[in-house]
Amino acid sequence: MPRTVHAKGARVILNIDLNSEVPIYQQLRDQIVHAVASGELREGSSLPATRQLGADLGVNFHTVNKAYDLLRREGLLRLNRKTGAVIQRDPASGPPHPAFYPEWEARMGVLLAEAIAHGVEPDQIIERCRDQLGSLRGAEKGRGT
Amino acid sequence: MTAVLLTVQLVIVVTVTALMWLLPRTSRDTLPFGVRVPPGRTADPAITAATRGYRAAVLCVSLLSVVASAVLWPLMSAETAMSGGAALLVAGGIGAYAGAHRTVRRAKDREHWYAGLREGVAVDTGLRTDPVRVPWLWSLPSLVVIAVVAITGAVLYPGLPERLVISVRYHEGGTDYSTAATTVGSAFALVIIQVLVTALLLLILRFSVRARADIDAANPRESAERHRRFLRIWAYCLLATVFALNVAFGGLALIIWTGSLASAGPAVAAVVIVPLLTGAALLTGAGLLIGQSGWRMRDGTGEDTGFVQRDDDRYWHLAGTVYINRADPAILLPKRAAGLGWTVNLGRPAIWLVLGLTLGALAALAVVIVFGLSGDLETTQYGWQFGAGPLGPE
Repeated sequence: MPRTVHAKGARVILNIDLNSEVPIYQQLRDQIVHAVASGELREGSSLPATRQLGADLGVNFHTVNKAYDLLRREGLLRLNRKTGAVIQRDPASGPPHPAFYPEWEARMGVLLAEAIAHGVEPDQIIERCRDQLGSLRGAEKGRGT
Repeated sequence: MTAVLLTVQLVIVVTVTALMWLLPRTSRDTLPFGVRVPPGRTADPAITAATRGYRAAVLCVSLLSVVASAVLWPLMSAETAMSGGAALLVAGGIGAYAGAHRTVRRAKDREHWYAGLREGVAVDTGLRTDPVRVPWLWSLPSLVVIAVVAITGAVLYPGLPERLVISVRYHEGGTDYSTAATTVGSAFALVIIQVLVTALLLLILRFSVRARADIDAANPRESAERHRRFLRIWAYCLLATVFALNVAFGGLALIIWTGSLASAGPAVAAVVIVPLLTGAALLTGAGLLIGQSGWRMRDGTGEDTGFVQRDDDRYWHLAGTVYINRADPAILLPKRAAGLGWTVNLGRPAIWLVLGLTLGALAALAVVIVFGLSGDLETTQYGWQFGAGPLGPE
């Protein structure tokens, strides 16, 4: 159910690692997802228009476009001709679309397999998951709902 | 008369030298003399040496320019001697800066200052989604000044004499008065200049506030906050300067219309010079205090992301004054060298068009002014009486 609370002027720092193997558009997408999870961005928060963000980062518009498009297909972002980009949903927007689980679980499977292959104990894995979740939810609660 | 000119020149030389000496303060500590350096190297001996060398060179050039003027003075006119000295001072300053730039650049390349560092770029989306608002209402005083001057001109115009004194020149032999025939164009020239200059500066304000911010990848949150404060201070200073310029031009127009230029001369010049100097002092003072992009306004929160700002030296040319980067979509960005302000990305074809049009417009304006006045400008010697016209030799 969409809420009418608007966190329009949300300020998010996006930091791009130029020497990373992770492509820039992926870094952008990942950081925006993180910002939504931690409450920095809420449903209704705006992000700069594609061209504007590209100019500010000094990267091609297509790179930003790719990131925004990824987010749009995931249902996290809504592209608006007039206002640029707007966050479509946040943790409080309700449960995920059923189609979310298969792809996410597949990626989680890879992560877990990596840990197991390197000899991490299952309860260690769960412990670390709890820590990360804790810091995400803590940040989100700290910003208030 | 010579004493006055000498004093004026000395004041100018001292002021320009002081400004050149202080110039390195305005650049970020990570951008000494137009070279990008990592935060860990801002106190490197090479940079300290370059700064000392630059300042020593500035002082030498300053002395040389005074000596050169003194030598040239008896050989040619006072104005040529002063201009020659000034040109030498500016050229020397530029040379000193270029030399310092080279010193830092060579040390950086030789010792590989960026080896092993994680380069990044950062952006604060809030600067776009919640931008700094310009206090446009503070441009009203300037518009009021323009309106008052224009209306006064319209009221006075029918009663103006046939010729207006537009400049006065004192020299050993006497006084030269330059006059122009009174037409709507010549009488309202200064009002037109007021309007054009105000419009241009307000446009510059609007575009500069929306230009890319130089957010430091090492401490993005802090530098974004600083940039906001910088923009607010810049907006107020520029609007105040616009007001000062309008008062100066408006004052000069009133002086010319009432014939005071010929009668009271230097005393009346204060009405024009004081606002101009105040405006310049305000901008310069603020700039020296807060530095480019407000870098001197440190809050010291000690944020460190582990990244360093991208080393983009390869796109900056001519001692860090010219930026050419085809892959960068930005058109306007903070400049690197010599003080505060913004520069354009010459790698974008759109800029060439804009620059070409601007130069063309300025050239056309200059041609119009020269042709408009040339047939008309008269210089009489000795004397002028408002209403009665030129007097004969005394």
